[in-house]
Order: sequence, then structure tokens, then C-alpha cells
Amino acid sequence: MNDHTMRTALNYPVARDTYKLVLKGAREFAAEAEAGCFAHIRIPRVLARRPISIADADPTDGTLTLIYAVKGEGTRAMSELLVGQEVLALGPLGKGFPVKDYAGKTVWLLGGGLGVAPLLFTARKLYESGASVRAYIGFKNSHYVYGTAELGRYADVRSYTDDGSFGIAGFAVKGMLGDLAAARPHAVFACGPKPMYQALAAGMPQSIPCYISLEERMGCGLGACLGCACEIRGEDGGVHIKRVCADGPVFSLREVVL
Amino acid sequence: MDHADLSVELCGLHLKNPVIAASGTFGFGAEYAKLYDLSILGGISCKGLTLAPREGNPPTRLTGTAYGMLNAVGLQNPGIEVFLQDVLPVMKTYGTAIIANVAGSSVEDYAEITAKLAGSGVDMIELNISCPNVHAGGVPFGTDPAVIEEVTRRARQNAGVPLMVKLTPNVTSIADCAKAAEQGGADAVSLINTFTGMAIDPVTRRMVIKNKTAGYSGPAVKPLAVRMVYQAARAVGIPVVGMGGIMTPADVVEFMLAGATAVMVGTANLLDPFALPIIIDGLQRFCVENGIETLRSLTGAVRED
Ligand SMILES: Cc1cc2nc3c(=O)[nH]c(=O)nc-3n(C[C@H](O)[C@H](O)[C@H](O)COP(=O)(O)OP(=O)(O)OC[C@H]3O[C@@H](n4cnc5c(N)ncnc54)[C@H](O)[C@@H]3O)c2cc1C
Ligand SMILES: Cc1cc2nc3c(=O)[nH]c(=O)nc-3n(C[C@H](O)[C@H](O)[C@H](O)COP(=O)(O)O)c2cc1C
Ligand code: FES
Repeated sequence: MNDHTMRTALNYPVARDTYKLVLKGAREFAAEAEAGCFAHIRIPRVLARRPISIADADPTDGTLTLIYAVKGEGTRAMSELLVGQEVLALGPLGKGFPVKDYAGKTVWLLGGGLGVAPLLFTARKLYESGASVRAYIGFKNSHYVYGTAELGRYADVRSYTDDGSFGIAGFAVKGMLGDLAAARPHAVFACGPKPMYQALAAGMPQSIPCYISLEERMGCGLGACLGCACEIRGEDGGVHIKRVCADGPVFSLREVVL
Repeated sequence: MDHADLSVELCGLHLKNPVIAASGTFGFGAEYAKLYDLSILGGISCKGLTLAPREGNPPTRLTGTAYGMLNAVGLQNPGIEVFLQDVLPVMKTYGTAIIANVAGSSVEDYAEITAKLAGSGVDMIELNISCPNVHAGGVPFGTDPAVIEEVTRRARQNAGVPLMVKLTPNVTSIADCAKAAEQGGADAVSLINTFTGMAIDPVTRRMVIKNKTAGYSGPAVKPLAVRMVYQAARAVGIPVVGMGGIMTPADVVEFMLAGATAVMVGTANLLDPFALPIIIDGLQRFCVENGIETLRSLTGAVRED
């Protein structure tokens, strides 16, 4: 882990309000990158860093790929990065999905919106470790869909949109829960909005381990400032504060206070 | 001259350089120790400690703004006992001055926690008096000079090491507050803590920070902090440790010229994890380029002609 100076190789829209940023000079970063980890990005003219998940990382050509939504000041400035412009990427940071524990097993991925981004890298890592991967991904409507082709290389993909304008109409999590009657995974790795996690917690049998990725505004990204608190239920039943950046961002679904 | 003397003396402590990591932005050093050798630092002021462990505030606790940072962490810390048993022994191995930053909700809390730190091996104690006083309807200790003097006196009786009082900028007269700390027996004052701020999301119409109010820090506050350090340094005879928005070596020099003996750097660590080594390297270069042999000669050396 280090603060790496990287250069913008590509930065273009892949869906509505959604961009793909490919950074060069990431050989060392990519070699260490694990599924579900993130980079803490310093964007020119933006004071505080912004955490963005690793959507892909390739040590052979030294590239790091991020997929992000334009939300506010930080991600707007990110969308204006020109080819050749430098950014600082601190990382890889955080504790990601337990890919190694499921080598050769069956894992179902569940992604909603921007949450699909880290699952692209996760699917690849799972596939490379010999896991059998199925991905349930959901978007608002067809304008917001991205990543289905990349994901298709490593996983059996089932796409959903809220209005049915692409793939199946409805929520991806509903689709996944409905398919449990016919098949069962060894684990579920999910990234998406809170209601998706709540539906997963309500419908998924306790016997299937589920891992979810949390988001919180961050300061240091390292575990020092205690700015990125989330509430986790301990074994004693009490609620404790953990750091999304260092203890997560991936936690076991059952321990998270949703 | 190719090498300047960056060392400073603070209340009898010899610091390698005037740059100290500010409380709350550096944890207990462990995360940064993985990135660089902490012995290059002038010192570390640890995360604010309380008698009992504290879970802190619910999220969201922190956000970046255009020119600064808002935080309401709420003094999350493992408590003084865990600090003394498990944390301090590790911090002592870092080869830099260790300052214990402490907080409480009553005058007795401050007296008790400083007593626990006496003889523990910390090099200095810093009283964070920006916290609400439960016996005064939640009014922060640091906004009333009479209370500042009392809390300082009670803590001073117990502290076996130099005692520094950290002043809040949310006051009308920083000079009066600095004088009150001196009167109470403080060996130094440090300033500034954060300004009380707020942010509202225009789309969701919600408070960005769950606690509603939050401490504002970072480059935006620097001119305010320089002014307050200048006013405090003129008001008291004890050393002043300056902070608020320091990002560069030139910022350190500016605070010293205003009257600071040493400085603390906080928010910059969150923006760039290597901020401290970069600033310390740059200070050496600044001195060499400007023919300054001993950095400490700059304290209070602002020209007013
Ligand atoms: C571990 C982690 C991984 C992430 N990965 C991705 C990713 O791969 N792609 C992506 O587009 N986004 C990702 N995010 C969210 C991303 O960090 C925020 O969208 C971004 O910081 C917003 O910055 P801004 O300046 O554009 O928005 P701001 O102006 O700061 O805020 C605009 C809106 O974004 C929300 N927001 C702000 N900061 C965060 C945050 N840290 N997490 C969640 N929501 C936030 C706020 O609630 C607000 O409504 C991730 C967050 C975390 C913690
Ligand atoms: C995330 C964060 C946590 C902080 N926690 C503490 C604390 O526990 N005790 C304290 O005395 N000051 C605390 N501070 C205040 C800083 O030590 C410092 O006084 C202030 O941020 C101004 O300096 P800066 O602009 O360099 O950050 C905190 C600041 C930040 C940003
Ligand atoms: S962002 Fe600083 S502890 Fe997580």
C-alpha cells in the first residue's frame, strides 16, 4: 500500500452519469489489489480525497480501472480529468471479499447501480480461483446499464431494471431470492444500496454466508481519523463502531446494523 | 550553509523539529508508522482520551468541503486504561515526543485523567477544553476564562509533566482565554481547535453530519488561526503551539513568525498521508534557501515596521 502517482489513460461515459476512468502507472497497485478493495483518490483542485472501488486492476499493463457516478463536486472534477492528467491513488485499501475462501465453490454476486463496479473485479478474481460465479445485477433503467459484457466473461449474468427497459423487470435481489428454490450458492457477495441489503437479510437463509460492502464518507482512508464509522453488532449482541476503511468496506451481512 | 537546525525547545522538551501531528488526525500513530518512520516527527498528540472508553458519534461523522473539513467524531477512544496498558508502550517505541490529549465532561474528569497519566511516560499532556461541561448546561469549558483557569489549576496539581491547554477558537477574546490558562498554571497553550460549523445537503435537505454541528478545520481556517496565535502569543509569557490549516512548510514558518514555538498539523494528514514528512523536508529546504541557521529563531520574529 502506498500513495501512487497515476496518469489518466481513458476517462469516458459508459452509462448515464457514469464514467470509466483508466489510470496508468498502477503496476505495483494492481499487483496488490484484491476484490472489494478501494483506492482513495486525490483529484486536482479537490481538497478531500474520494474513495472509489477497484473495478479492475491489471499488473501486466499497469492499469487501474475505476467506474464512478457523477454525484457532487469531487466526482464532477473526476469526470473532467483529461488524458495524461495526474491523480494520486492511495491504496489498495480496505478488507475486501473473501475470494480465497471460495476457490472452486459457487458464489452468487448481487450488485445494484454503482455497486456493480467492484463486482467486475470480484467476478474476475473468483473466476481465476476456479469458482463458479453467477451475477444478479440491477439498474434503474436501460440508460444506467454498464459492465454486462465484462461481467459476462467471468459469470453467468442476470440483468434487471426497475422498469424492465433492459433485462428482467424488478429488483435483482428479488430475482436471486426467487432462484434459491432451484439452486444454492456457497456464499453471496453483494454491493449496492441499503434497501438491497435489507431485502437480502430478510430473504436469504442464515446458512448461506453473505458479505456486503459498505460506504461512508472518509477522511484518511487508513483507519486513523475514525471518520468513516459504521455500526456493527458484536458477538456479545452489543453495537460497536467499526471503521469502513480499515475494518471493511466488506463486512458479514448478519453483523451489520442496517 | 547546507543544513539548518530545525530543533525547538518546548517546556524543557527537546523536539527534533517543530512539527507535531495534531490530535484526532493521527490516531495513535500505528497507521502512519506503516507508511514512514515516525521518529522524524517533532511529536505526536494522540487521539483525545477520556476516563471511560467512548464509541463516539453515529455516522455520518465527517465530510470534505470546498476549502476545509467538517468532523464530529465525538471523541471515540479506548479509554485511559487501555491507552496506558496497550497503546502507550507502542507509541514510546516511535522515537518521538508523545503528547497525551485528554478530554472530560467535568473539572473532576480532567483532574482524574491527568493524575492517571502522571508517571506514565508521556512527555506532555494537552487538555482539550472544547468539550461540553455537563455541570454548566453543556457550555464548553474553553469559552469561559474563569472555568479555563479552574480546570487548568486542577489538572496542573496532578500532572507530573508539562501541561498544555488547547484553546477553542469559538470565543470572543482568545487573549483572555490564553491568559486564564497561564494564570491556572499551564506550561503552554496550543491553538486552535476546530471552529463550530455545519453543512446541509441542498438536494436531500438533510444535515450532512449526523451530529448537526461539526468542527471545521483545514486550509480555510489558516488566516483566522494565524491571527489568534499572534494575539495569544502577545498576551502570555508561556510558549504557544500554533495550528489550523497548515499544509506547507511556508505555513509552519508563518505560524512561528506569529509567535508559535512549535506547530501541529491535522487535516493535512487526511488529505495526504505523507504530509508531515513532506513539510519537514520542505522546512529544511526553506531554511537553507533563506539563510536561516536555527529555525527556532523565527518564533515571534514577524516584522511590524
Ligand atoms: C469503499 C467505497 C467504495 C466506493 N466505490 C465507489 C465506486 O466504485 N463508484 C462510485 O461511483 N462511487 C463509489 N463510492 C462512493 C463515492 O466515494 C462517492 O460517491 C463520492 O465520494 C462522492 O463525492 P462527490 O464529491 O462527487 O459528492 P459529494 O458532493 O461529496 O456528495 C454528493 C452525494 O454523494 C454521497 N456521498 C458522498 N460521499 C460518499 C461516500 N464516501 N460514500 C457514499 N456516498 C457518498 C452523499 O450522500 C451526497 O448525497 C465508494 C465509497 C466507498 C466508501
Ligand atoms: C477528524 C478530526 C478529529 C479531531 N479530533 C480531535 C481530538 O480528539 N482532540 C483535539 O484536541 N482536537 C481534535 N481535532 C482538532 C485538531 O487537532 C486541530 O486542532 C484542528 O483540526 C485544526 O488544525 P488543522 O486545520 O491542521 O486540522 C480533530 C480534528 C479532525 C479533523
Ligand atoms: S477514513 Fe479515517 S478512519 Fe476511515
